[in-house]
Parts: sequence; structure tokens; C-alpha cells
Amino acid sequence: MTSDVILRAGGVRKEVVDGERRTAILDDIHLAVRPGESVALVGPSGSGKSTLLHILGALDNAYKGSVTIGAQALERLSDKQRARLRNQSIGFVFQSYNLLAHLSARENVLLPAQFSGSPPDGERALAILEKVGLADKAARKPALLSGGERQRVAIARALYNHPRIILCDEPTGNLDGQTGKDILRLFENLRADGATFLIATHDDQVADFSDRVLRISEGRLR
Amino acid sequence: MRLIATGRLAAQHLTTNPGRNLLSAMGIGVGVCVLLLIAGLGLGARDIVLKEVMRELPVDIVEVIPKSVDLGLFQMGEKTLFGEAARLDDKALDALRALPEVQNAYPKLEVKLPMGAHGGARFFGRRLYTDLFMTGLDEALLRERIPAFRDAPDVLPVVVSDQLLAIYNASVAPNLGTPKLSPETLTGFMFEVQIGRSLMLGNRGVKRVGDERARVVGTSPFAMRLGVSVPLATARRLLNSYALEPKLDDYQAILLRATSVADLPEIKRKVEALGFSIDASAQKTSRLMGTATLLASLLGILVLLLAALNIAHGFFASLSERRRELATLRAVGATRGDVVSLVLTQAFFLGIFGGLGGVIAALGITNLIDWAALRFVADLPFSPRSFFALPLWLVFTGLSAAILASVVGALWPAISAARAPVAAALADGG
Repeated sequence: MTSDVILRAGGVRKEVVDGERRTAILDDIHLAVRPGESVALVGPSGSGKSTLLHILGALDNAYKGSVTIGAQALERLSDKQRARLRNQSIGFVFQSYNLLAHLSARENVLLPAQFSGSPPDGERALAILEKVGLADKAARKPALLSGGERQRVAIARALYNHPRIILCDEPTGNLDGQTGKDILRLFENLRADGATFLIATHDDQVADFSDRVLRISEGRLR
Repeated sequence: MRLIATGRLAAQHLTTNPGRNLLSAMGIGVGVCVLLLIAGLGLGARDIVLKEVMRELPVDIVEVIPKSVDLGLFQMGEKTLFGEAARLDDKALDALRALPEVQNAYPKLEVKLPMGAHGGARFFGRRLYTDLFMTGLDEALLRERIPAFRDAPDVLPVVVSDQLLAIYNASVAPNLGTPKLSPETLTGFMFEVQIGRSLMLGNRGVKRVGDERARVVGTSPFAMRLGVSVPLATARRLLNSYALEPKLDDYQAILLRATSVADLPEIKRKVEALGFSIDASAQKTSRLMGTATLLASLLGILVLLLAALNIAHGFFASLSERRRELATLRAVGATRGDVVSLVLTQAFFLGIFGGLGGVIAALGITNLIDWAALRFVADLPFSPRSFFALPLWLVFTGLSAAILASVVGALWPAISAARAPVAAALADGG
């Protein structure tokens, strides 16, 4: 079964320290995501879903427990190895898009290539932008794109290096209802192509789109 | 590949906040400009002093002088402290000529007689007088510049220093309202010399006072700077005729021409072994002025340090604003090292832009000052083409200092930015 799992978390715990006081913001988290699966991590604001997503995405290594992506245990990786893992195996989609304002849509999509050691593939970037419906806006800077379009660019960027899993943090959080639906439709199309998603959200629409829903509250999966 | 990508990203980012980047680059530019102006002025002044005022000897010639004790700025004849120094006489001349590395040796004899020159009515419209100092020089040395040199027993053949002529043309002629002279117009100029008496020295050490006719036969770089030179035979004749105790082979110095420049260190060693010194006043002056320039350049370096602090401050502010951008880069695969490289590359570009701006500003200011000096300031001796010397190495040093200041200034902010927790920065955005 292990080989079928892309991402696994076992007994993950994260504490914050405030003076003498230690507070667990995540506790005893166990989860597994399989290839092609779409898993929604649903919980209210402050429940710890973004924190968990950062840990699972190798962005935060201050935790207890274990996280593996493929066969790689994140706890054993150096900063450089974690960066390589993020570059090669994980795609990120953030609520506020996190596009670089001075780069065009195409250049933003190519951003992972800058750190992969292989030459940027402009054709591939354009092909992905076409897949997300933005081929005609490839040269535009983010400021000239709508919220939905920016999120599509962010999704295209997440797809560039053929990631094993795409971690989304409130991907529709900044979008109106219709645009949010468009993004979910795009996710469905990508799933049909074999993409794997773990989506942190408090949006029930997103939960409906997913194969499985994990509910998180006060740092624990319920 | 990664380096090119980092360079491209850094260059693209510089366009995002042109105002702030321009200010940072300007800080660097001002530092480089000040550094180049001060160092350039120091080097320029040194060039003028060495090439025009002190007039260094040709590279294959060294001047042997009696040994002296070097007390930094001052020199003291060795006999005052350590007994009699070795004399530069004919025996010493023969010994020096015998050195295999020496092609020729030319004695320089000071004519230690009070004397004054009268004349110049034809040139200057009135008779002028000046106390006169004189050295006797080996004819062979004088003939290098004055091939048609002819000694005449009834007239003193006088050679004038090129520098003296330059000083006269630049400072004396404009003040006295007398015409400027070229070596050609000066050659053939006749004047009277009263030997045995002068305003400054009276008639000390002479057995008689007499008048001689003198004629300028040409100019030479080897001639006495603030006086005139005559052939050695003429100098000896004057000493014999007028001095109470003529010392005909008590040379002031002996010029040695090396067979090869490469032999100079060996010549120096042998000269010192014979109990003499090599006159190094030009090198000493050069060193002294170099040190002064270096000290003055510290002001430019101080400005560069301030610019580096400004860069550090600017980068701290800018990187604080870019926390999410850098965190995004980390999220898509940038290592901490990539973040440091990216920030330092941006600083490198700022340094280059600032440095180039500083170099251009320095070139502009030096040209402006030179132009203004030429237009508004009275003639200066030696009329330099420029007061500044900005050799290529100095320009490169300025550029390197700009890049270094910028990169060093950005180093700490870069490391701090690379160490910042990624998750927290991403969470800040909501």
C-alpha cells in the first residue's frame, strides 16, 4: 500500500511557544494522499490547515512526527534537498496567488525552471497557459489580469515541473462565486489528466469537488 | 544555467522600484566619484611634480651622491654624525666607470662661487639682474641634446634647464610682462656674469671679482634646475680663476648610465659598497605623495562605506517588503543560497550602475575643472594638460570598490532574508 501513497503524515505535531507557555496548533495528524486523488482539508479559520499544508509542502520543518513525499522523509532532508523536492514534486497554489509582479504570466509560469537546473521551456509554459485558458495573455503582467486569471497563472506555475502533488491553500478564497467555480472546473480537468490535489479550504464547493474530505478543528483531524 | 537565471531575475527586479534603486546607486556613485577625484588629483599632482618639477632622470640613469643619513623628509650629510663620508672625486669616478654594468659616468661639479647675471635689455626692454647658481656638467652629457655644442674660451657656454624655461614662461614672464621664450629663441642669448660677488653670498671664498660674457647654447633636462650649467672644463676654469681654494674634483654627484636597466639593482648594490648612495629623492617624493593621496582617498572610502550602509538600509527595507516574493521563490524551489545569490546579484548590478555613474561623473568633473582652470586661472608653471590622472587601473579600482561596497552592504540583509521562515512570510499574505 505504501507505494500507492504520494504523501503521508504520521503523528504530526506543531507547537508554538509564548514565553513559558507551549500551545499545540497541530496535534497527532495522520493522513495519506494517493495518486490522482483530490483531498479537501476543511476547517474554519485558525484551525491549522494552512500550517499543516506548509509542513506537508516542506516549507516548515519545525514540527514533530513524520511526513513523507514519495519515499522521502522530509525530516531527513537538508534545506537544499527540501528545495529540490518542492521544485520537482510539489506544486503550490496560494489564496493570494503570490505571482511576481514584475514578471509576465509566462515568466511566472517559468519560475520553477529558474531553480531546477534545466533550461526554461517556453513552449511548455505556453502549452500550460493554453490548458488553463490564458495563452493569449501570456505576455501580460499580473496587474493586468483579473483575480481568476491570476489564479490560473498560479495553477499553471504549479503544474510546470510535473509535480506529484499540488497543495492548494484556499485557492478560491479571493475569488467571486463564478470565478471560483471556473477554477474548480479547471481542477477537475487537471484531475482527469492525473493530477493529485490536497486543498485546504473552508469553502464547501471545494469540498464537494473532492474525493475525500478531511475535517480539521483546533489542530486535530476529526 | 542557474547563475544566468539568477542574473535575469535580479535584473528584472531592478525595474520594480527604480526610484529607490537609483538612490542606492547614486550613493555608491558619489562615493566612487569622490574616491576617483581625490586619488586622481593626488596622482595628477604626483605626475606633475615628478615629471615636470623634479624631472626624473631617464630610466637607465642613476645619480650617485655622497652617502647621507635618511631621516625621512630630511637628509643629513654623514660626516656630521659618523665622521667623513666618502668623497666623489676622480678616484671614485674611475671606480664607478670601471663597474661592468656601467656604460658611462658623468661627473657634476658645483661651481661654488658667488655670482650674478646681468643683461636681457634686447629681450626684455630693460637690464635684469639675478644671483646665479652654476654646475659644471660632463660635455658628453650636454651634447646629447645640444649636438652643435662648441666650447669657447672667451664666452661661457651656458645650458639652461628645460624646467627653468617652463617656470620662466609660466610664472615670470606674465608677471614681469616680458616675452615668453622657446629653446630656439633663448639659444644665442648673451648676458654678463659677475663672478666673485652676489647679493646673497657677498664675496665669500673668492680670490678676485671679475666679469665674464656668457651665451646660452641650448637647453637640457640634465642642466641645473634653478641655475645654469656649463661644461665641466669651463667650471674648472672658473674655480681655478676665482676660488680661494678650488676643489676641481669634489663632485656634487656622478650620473651613471647603465648598460641595461636590468643592471640597476646590481649598480645600486656596488655603489653602496663603494660608500656612496643613489639619489632617491624622486622616489621618496613619489612615495610621500602616494601616501598623502592614499590618506586623502580615505575620504572617498568613507563615503563608500556610508553608501554601503545606505545600501544595507535600503536592502533591509526592500527585502522586508519582498518577504512574500522571496518566500514564493523558496516555495517553487529556491534554496537559501539562491535567495542570497539573487539579492547579491541585485547589489552587484547596483554597484556596477553606481560605479559607472561615479566614473562618468568623475570624468565630467575633472574635465570641467581642467577647462575652468585653463580659462579662469592664470598660467601655471609646467601648464599640465590635466590636474588629474585617472589611469585605467584607478577607474577599475573605483568600479571594484563600488561593487564591493554594494555587495558587502547587501550581504547581511541577504542572509537575513534567506533565513526568514518561509511559511510565516506566506501566511502574512492571508
